[in-house]
Amino acid sequence: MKKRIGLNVMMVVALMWILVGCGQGNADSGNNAAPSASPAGTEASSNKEDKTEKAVEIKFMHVFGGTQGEAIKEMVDRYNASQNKVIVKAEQTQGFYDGLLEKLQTLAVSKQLPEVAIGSYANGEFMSTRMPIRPMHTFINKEGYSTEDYTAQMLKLGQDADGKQQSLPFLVSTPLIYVNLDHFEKAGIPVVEQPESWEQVRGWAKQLAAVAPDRGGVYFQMDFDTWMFQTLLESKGGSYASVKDKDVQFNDETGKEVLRYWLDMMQKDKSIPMMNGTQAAEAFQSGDLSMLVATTGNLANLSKNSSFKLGIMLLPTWEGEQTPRRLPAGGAGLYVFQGSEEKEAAAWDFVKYATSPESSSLLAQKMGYMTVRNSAREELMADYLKENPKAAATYKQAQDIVPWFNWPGDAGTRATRTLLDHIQGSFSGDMTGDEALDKAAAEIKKVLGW
Amino acid sequence: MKLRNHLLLNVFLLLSVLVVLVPFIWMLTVSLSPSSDPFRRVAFLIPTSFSLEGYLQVFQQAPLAHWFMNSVLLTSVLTAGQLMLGVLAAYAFARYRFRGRETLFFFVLCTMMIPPQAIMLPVYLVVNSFDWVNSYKGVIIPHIASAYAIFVLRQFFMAIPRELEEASRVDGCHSVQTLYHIYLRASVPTLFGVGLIQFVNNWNDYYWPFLILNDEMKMTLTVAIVQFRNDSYIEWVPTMAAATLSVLPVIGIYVLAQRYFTESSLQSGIK
Amino acid sequence: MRRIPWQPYLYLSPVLVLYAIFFVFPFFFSLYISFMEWDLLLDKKQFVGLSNYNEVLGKPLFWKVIGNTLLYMALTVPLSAALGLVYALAIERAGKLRSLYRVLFFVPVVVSVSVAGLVFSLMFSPQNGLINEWLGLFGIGEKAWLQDTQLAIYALAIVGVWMSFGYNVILYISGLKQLDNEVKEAAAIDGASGWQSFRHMTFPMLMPVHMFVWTITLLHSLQVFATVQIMTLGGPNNSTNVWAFFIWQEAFQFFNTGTASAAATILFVIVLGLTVIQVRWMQKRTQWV
Repeated sequence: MKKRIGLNVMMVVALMWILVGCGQGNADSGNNAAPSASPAGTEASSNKEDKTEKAVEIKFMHVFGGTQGEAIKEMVDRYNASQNKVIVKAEQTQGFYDGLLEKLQTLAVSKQLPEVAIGSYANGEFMSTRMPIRPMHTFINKEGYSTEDYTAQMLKLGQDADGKQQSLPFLVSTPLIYVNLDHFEKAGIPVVEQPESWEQVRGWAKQLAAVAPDRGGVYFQMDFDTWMFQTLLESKGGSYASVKDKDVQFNDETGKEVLRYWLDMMQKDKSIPMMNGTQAAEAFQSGDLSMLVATTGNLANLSKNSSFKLGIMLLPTWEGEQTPRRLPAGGAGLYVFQGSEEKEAAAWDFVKYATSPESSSLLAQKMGYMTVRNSAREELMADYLKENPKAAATYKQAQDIVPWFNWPGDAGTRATRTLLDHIQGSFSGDMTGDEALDKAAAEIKKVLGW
Repeated sequence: MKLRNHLLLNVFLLLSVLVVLVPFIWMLTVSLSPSSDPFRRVAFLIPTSFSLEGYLQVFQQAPLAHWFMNSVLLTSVLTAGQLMLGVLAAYAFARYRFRGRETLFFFVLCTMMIPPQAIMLPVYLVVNSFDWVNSYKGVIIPHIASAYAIFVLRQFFMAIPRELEEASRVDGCHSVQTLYHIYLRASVPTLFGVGLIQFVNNWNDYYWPFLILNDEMKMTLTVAIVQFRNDSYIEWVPTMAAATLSVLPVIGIYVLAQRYFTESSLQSGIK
Repeated sequence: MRRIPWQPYLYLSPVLVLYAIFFVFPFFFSLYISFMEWDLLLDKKQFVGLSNYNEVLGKPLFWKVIGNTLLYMALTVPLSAALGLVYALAIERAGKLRSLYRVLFFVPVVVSVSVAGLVFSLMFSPQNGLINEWLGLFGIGEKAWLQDTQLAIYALAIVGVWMSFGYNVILYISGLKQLDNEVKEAAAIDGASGWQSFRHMTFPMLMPVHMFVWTITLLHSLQVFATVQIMTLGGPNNSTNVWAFFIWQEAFQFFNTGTASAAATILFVIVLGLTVIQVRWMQKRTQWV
C-alpha cells in the first residue's frame, strides 16, 4: 500500500519535473540560440568579436518594416560598426504608433522597457507624463550638447509646454499631395507647385474622378489618427481645443465646414473613394486614384512602385483665408527610458548618432521622411535634393510646421479614437458631419472631465 | 439518372472547394507576383508574370528559419505538456468516483467558455510576477492545462470497457500501470489526433505569444508574419510570401495526418 | 479499499494547480481590480466601489458592443452549422473523391488567424480586392467592405464562417458515419424516401452532434477577437467592436484596467449563466457530462 503511494507520487512528480524542465530548457535555448541562427544576430556577434567585454547592449524599438525597416537597420548597423562600447539591437513592433504605445505600456508594467524608443509626436504628452523617460534636456545640459543644427521647428516638436526638450526629433513628415501626372495631363489640368486653395483641389478631384467609373479623385489619408483633420482645421483658423480653458473647439463652425468639405466630396462629387489609407496608397499606385494627400514618409514607397509620372504638390490654404497655412508635423521623436547610468549613457550616445546629420540624411533619403538637421539638408543632401525635386518639395513648406495637437493627460488615445470613430461614422452616412463632431466633442469632454 | 446526380454533386462540391480555397490561391498568386505590380494582372487569380522577389525579400529581411524553429519548439513542448496533463486529468474524471467530480469537470468546461481576452490582463500580471514575461515559460505554462484535451480524452477513456481495467488489476497492475497499459495503448490514435489539433491551435495562437514575447528573436512565425506591415503601406508581396511559408508546414502536417484528425479524435468527442 | 480516494486528486493536481494560478486567481484578481481605479503605470490604487460598473454600463458603446457581438453570432453560427451539415451530407455521397473533399474543406481550419486576417483584408480591399472584382462581373458596384459601418461586420462574419465551417463538416461526417447503417436499415424496412429518412431519422439522431457543433461554434464566435484586431481594429465607428475586443481595448490600448475588469466581470457572469444552462441541458440529453 505504502509502496504504491510512493510510486504514484514519484510518477507525477517525475511528469511534472519533465514538464517544468522542458519549459526552462526551452526558454534558455531560445535565449542562446538567438544570436547564432539569425542574420541580425550574426552581425551582432561578428561585431562582438572586436568589442571589449564592456560593450553595453541596448534595445531600440521602432515601428518600421519592409523597405523603411531596412533603412533603420542600416543606420543601426552603421552605428554598431562605428564604435565598440555600445551594441544596439533594433526591434520592430507591430501596429504602427498605436501598437507601439500598447507595447510600451505593457512593457512598463513588466519593467522591460527598451532603452530607446521612437514616439509619435501625437503621443508626446503621454510619453513625457506617463512613461518613465529620461528627458533629453538632462543629457543636453549635462554634456553641453549643442542643438543648434537641429531645425528649430522640429526641435520644438519634442518640447513640453515649458519648452523643455523631452525627445529629440528623429523622423519628421509633412503632408503632401501626391499626384498622378498622367491623369492631370489627360484631363488638361495644369501642373502647379501648389494649388491655389482646397476648393480648387475639390474641383480637380471632381473632374478627375469623372474620367473613369472606378477612379477616385483624391484621398486624404486618415486611418489611425486625425492628422489631416487638424491640418485642414488649423489652416482654416480653427483649433482642436483650448487645454487652458478646458474647451473643445473642433466642433465649432470651422470644424464643421472642414468635415462638410470632405462629406460633400464623398457624397455629392463622388470624388473621395471609400477605403483606408493602405488601400488608397495601392489604388494610387495602380492608377485608380488621381491624388493622395499623405505623409512625406510614403515618398520612398510611392516613387519606387509607381508606373506613371508621379508629381508632388504642396498643401494649399482655403479660399480667402487669411490665417497662414499650418502643417502639424507627423513622424516620431526619440525617447530614452530611465535605467542604469551606464545604459542611459549608451542610449544617449545612440540617440546622438541616430539624429546626426549623417544618419538623418541616410534615413531621409531611404525612407522619405525629412531630415532634422540643417547641415544635412544644406550639405550632405544638397545634391540628392537637387536631383530629386520631389524629395525637396516637403522642405518648401517646412516653415509652416506646427506641433501635433496632444490631448492632456492619459486620455489622448481615447480622445483621438473617439473623434476618428465619429468622423468615420459620418463617412459611412450613419450621421451628418455636424452631428458627428458634436457627439465626439461631448464624449471627449466626458473623457477628459472638462 | 443516378450517374447524373452523382456528377452534379461532384461538380457542386468541386466548385465549393474552389471557393473555399480561393484565399489560398490568391495568397499564392500575390506572393509570386512582382512587387512592383502585384494586383493588376492577377485580379482573376491568373498570374501573368511570376517572380520570386517576395520570397527572396522575406528571407533576406527576416530570420524566417529562426522563427520557424521557435514555433516548432514552443508548439511541440506545449502540445506534449497538454497531452500529458490531459491524460492524467481525463483518467481521473473517467475512471474514478470522487467527491467534487461533477463540479470540477464543470469547472474545466467553464474554462473553455470564457474568452481569453477577458482575463488576459490579470494573467499577464501573474506571469509578470513570476518574471516570465518575454520567456517561453510565460507562453507555455499558462496554457498547458487544456480543457479541450481533457474533455476529448475523457470521452474516449469512458468508452474503454471497464472489464479490461478489472482484468489488469487482477494481474496486479496498480493504477498508473493500468493507465499506461490499458488506456494509453488503446488510445494512441486518439492521442495523436488530439495532439495534432492542439499542435495546430498552438501553432496558430496569435495574441498570447505576441503579448508575452518581446524579443524579435523569440517571436513565433505566426506572430512575426504580421511584421511586413508598414507606415500606412503594406508590402503585400513579401507579406503574402511570408504568410504562405507559415501556412505550408501546418497544411503539410494536416494532409499527412488528416486521417487522425478526422476519424479518431473528433468522433470520440461526440459519442 | 480498492479505489483509493486520493488518487484522482493526485492525477488532477497539476491541472488544478495550473487552473488555480492562471484562471481562478486571475478571475478574482480581475474582480478585485474592477472595484479599483488602478493606474498600472504609476502603480496607484484607489477603491472606487461600483463606479467602474456604472461607467461601463452607462456607455452607449458597451451596448453597441453587445449588439455587435450578438449580430456576429447570429450571422456566423447558424450559417456555419448549416454549411457543415450540408457539406457533410454531400461529401458522404460523393463516392471516390470523398476523402479528398474531407481534406480540402478542413484546410481553412488549420490556417492561423493572422494569415486569414491578412489575406482577407486584401481580398476585401475596395479597388484591388478580389471580392469586389468578382462582384463586378455580376454588375455589383464597388463596396468598401471594411470601411463601411454597414458592411464591415458582415465581412468579418464571412471570414468567421470560412474559418469555422470545415470543422463542423468533419464533426457531422463522423456523426453520420456512426448513424449510417442504422438509418439505412431502418429506412429499408420503412421504405422511406431519402428526404423522409433524413427528416425523421438522420436529423434527429444527429442531436448530440448538433449540440456539439452549436456549442463549439457559439463559443468561437462569442470569443472572436483576432480577425477584428487584424482587419478592422473594431472600426469603422465601432461597428465591428465586439466583446473580447472591447475588453482588450480598454485593458491594453486605453490601459483602463478598472473598466476593462468590470466589463470582463459582466461578461463572466453572463457566459457562466449560459454555460450552466447549457451544461444542464446537455446532461439531460447526451452522455457527455
